[in-house]
Amino acid sequence: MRWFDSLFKKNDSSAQVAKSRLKIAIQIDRTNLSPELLQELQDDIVRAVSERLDIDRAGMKITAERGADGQRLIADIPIKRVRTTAATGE
Amino acid sequence: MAGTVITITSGKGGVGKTTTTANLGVALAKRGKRVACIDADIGLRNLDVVLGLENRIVYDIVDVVEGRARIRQALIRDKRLPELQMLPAAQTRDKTAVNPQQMLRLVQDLKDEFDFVIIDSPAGIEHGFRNAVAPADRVLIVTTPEMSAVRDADRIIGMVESAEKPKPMLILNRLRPGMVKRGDMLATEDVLEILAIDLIGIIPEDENIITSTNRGQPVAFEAKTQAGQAYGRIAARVLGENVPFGVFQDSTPVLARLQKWFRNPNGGSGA
Repeated sequence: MRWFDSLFKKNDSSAQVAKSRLKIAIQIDRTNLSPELLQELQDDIVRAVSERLDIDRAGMKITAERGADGQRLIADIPIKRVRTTAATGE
Repeated sequence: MAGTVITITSGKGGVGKTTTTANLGVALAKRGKRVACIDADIGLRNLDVVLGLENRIVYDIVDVVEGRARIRQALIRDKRLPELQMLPAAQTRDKTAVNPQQMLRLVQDLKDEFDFVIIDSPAGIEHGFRNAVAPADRVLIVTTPEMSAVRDADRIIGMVESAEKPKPMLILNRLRPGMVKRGDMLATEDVLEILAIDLIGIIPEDENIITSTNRGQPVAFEAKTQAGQAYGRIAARVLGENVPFGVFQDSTPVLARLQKWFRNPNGGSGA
């Protein structure tokens, strides 16, 4: 019966294969970070975090890593100390 | 009231941007709208041959931008359909001969005189694409149900959105209903799900598109063809009408030959 089922099962059709391949390819395309964008993100993160924390800029690492569940942005920022007088932004 | 600027783009080449531009232009003009079609594919012009107006070109878009001709002199009026005019691309220059600001200015002049300005974008994501999209009020993305075309369409949709244009709509071109039924071609719903975009029209694969282009007579002139009717429905939707999406029959070669014979029984070869 299995061969009979496979005749009618749409999961193996070339269109289904195309659809699942496309979804993955497009997911990768959409989440792809250029080196320029990564640098800009790093600058943004430093600016935001530095309002509250004293950080070790030389030791920080911002990377994009592709895992099984997609692309992720990983920020590894060594903290020197917490700023006790919170900046109000004024 | 100022006209609407519609840019036809795709990312990938060869999916039917120029054919779509020509036929949407004809379909809108047939409904009495004043339409200007602009070929923005500088260096690789083709809208002129698809519309059958290639013998009447005197000036082109670069002549207008560089001040050698007025836009009225460069526009070519379609004798079959007086509402339709075309501004040809330059053939001996490249895409950097025009910049987005110049496109904006040029299109601004046309908007006062036409109900629709339809821009045929070049393939790619570079300079020519930016020229074509800069003046757009609406963007229509053309794709075929093939992996490479759909993937490129997704890239283009992202770029249109980051250009702060309204969300583009999709024209699914060269759909083969028989292959979809067999599970051998991405279905309309598959493409829409992947691209997360609204549909404005489906054009079935139709041999009439090739024969009509051969003659320089866009298929939208031929009300009896599947593709011609499909372009008519897209024009209606562009005008805000609510037209249901049709179900297409496969036009097999045998069927197509029969149809041709019925249309022109004496002109055939007898085969």
